[in-house]
Amino acid sequence: MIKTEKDLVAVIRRLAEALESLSGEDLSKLCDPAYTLEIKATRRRSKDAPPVGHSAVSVEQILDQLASVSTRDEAQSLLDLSALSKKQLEPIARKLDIPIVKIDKAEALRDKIVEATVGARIRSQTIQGTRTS
Amino acid sequence: MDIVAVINYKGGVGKTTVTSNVAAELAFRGKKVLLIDTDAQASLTFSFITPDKWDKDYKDSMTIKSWFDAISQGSEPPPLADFVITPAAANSVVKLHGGRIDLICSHLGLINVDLELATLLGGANLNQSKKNYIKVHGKLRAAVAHLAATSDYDLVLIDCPPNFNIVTKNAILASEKILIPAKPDFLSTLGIDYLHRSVKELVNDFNEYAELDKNTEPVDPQILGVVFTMIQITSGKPIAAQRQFISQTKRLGVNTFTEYFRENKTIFADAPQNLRPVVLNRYSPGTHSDVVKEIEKFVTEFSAAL
Repeated sequence: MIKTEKDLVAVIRRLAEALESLSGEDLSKLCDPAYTLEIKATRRRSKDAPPVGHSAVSVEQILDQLASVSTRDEAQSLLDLSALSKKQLEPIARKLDIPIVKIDKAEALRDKIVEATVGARIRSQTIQGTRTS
Repeated sequence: MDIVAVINYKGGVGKTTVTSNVAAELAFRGKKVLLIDTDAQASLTFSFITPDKWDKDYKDSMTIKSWFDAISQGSEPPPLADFVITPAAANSVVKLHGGRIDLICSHLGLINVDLELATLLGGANLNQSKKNYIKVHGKLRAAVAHLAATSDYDLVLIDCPPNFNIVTKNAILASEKILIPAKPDFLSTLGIDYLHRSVKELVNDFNEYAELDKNTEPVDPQILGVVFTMIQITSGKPIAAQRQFISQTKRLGVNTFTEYFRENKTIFADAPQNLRPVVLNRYSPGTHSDVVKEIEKFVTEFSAAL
């Protein structure tokens, strides 16, 4: 959220930088009313970010944590809190033998992981009549 | 003698293919195997004898329906041995190895037997109802126990329909072990859970009521595990879409067999028409031969689990 004039200046500067990086063709599209304009912000990977792929240990840790939660919401929160990127979710999905589709976004992968773990357990307990709500 | 029910609550999972091939491979290894077809679709029956022969020679008095009919009519059923046939085509192969496959056929009218058996349930009071429950549901168990004591079978395989009617309950209660064929897909894996629940409830009911009858022993059929069927192989392993459900089933703590039945329409589609399970056929090295080898490996794993 923009709170100060300084923030606003920073935003405008970044927009100007983004415009500068556009090709001539893209710039002419911006002038063409036939095109709509959409601004998309993508998180930049910092040099200190954990390596892509996450270590085997952390995959196991996340799977252990998923095994201990009892609702889909808890599982979603757990993955949300971990703020795992698509690249970091992929080894978890692979460990669970979940098919990964290239066009899957991180959110879709999170949903698949939740369904393959907590979701499967809930379904099984519900049908077997052993689930306590 | 081992008594194994083959069942999944979900239909179309390859139950008959598993049953017929396990029986054939074991007979090929010199075992004496009895198949009891309790599915009104009679798919197992028609995997070993032609529908016209069934119609001419067995339909009227040599099927499991005739055996259950005796109960419905209030009389003591004849021994199961009276209903056993020895299918010629499959036995022409296995007898060379000292084995035998016998069969008690099913009947397309078996579906109506449940309604007739249901009329025998109930009673003037709760005790009477419970005794009738034992009487109706424990009949096949008693008959199979008698057969075990008077025959040379190594294994009885009971092919069950994908429901939990009185005939199916008879089959489950008659069994010591349960084999669950399942396709690794969403709905088939739900069928495994349905089955677990139904078996647990059936055993609890039967054992509770059995306490009233000093002649009835409690039952405790054990689930041997799940054998995955119709597996599509790519690069030497099941495709990803199926692997996820295999892994999921294992994670839920269900015992699963390592070996599986591969999908192969070319050889499985017309096998029943030839009255010989594919495992008894010889194929040139290649995919078909691999399918047979996989079945052989499963049977070895299955035998060890008994």
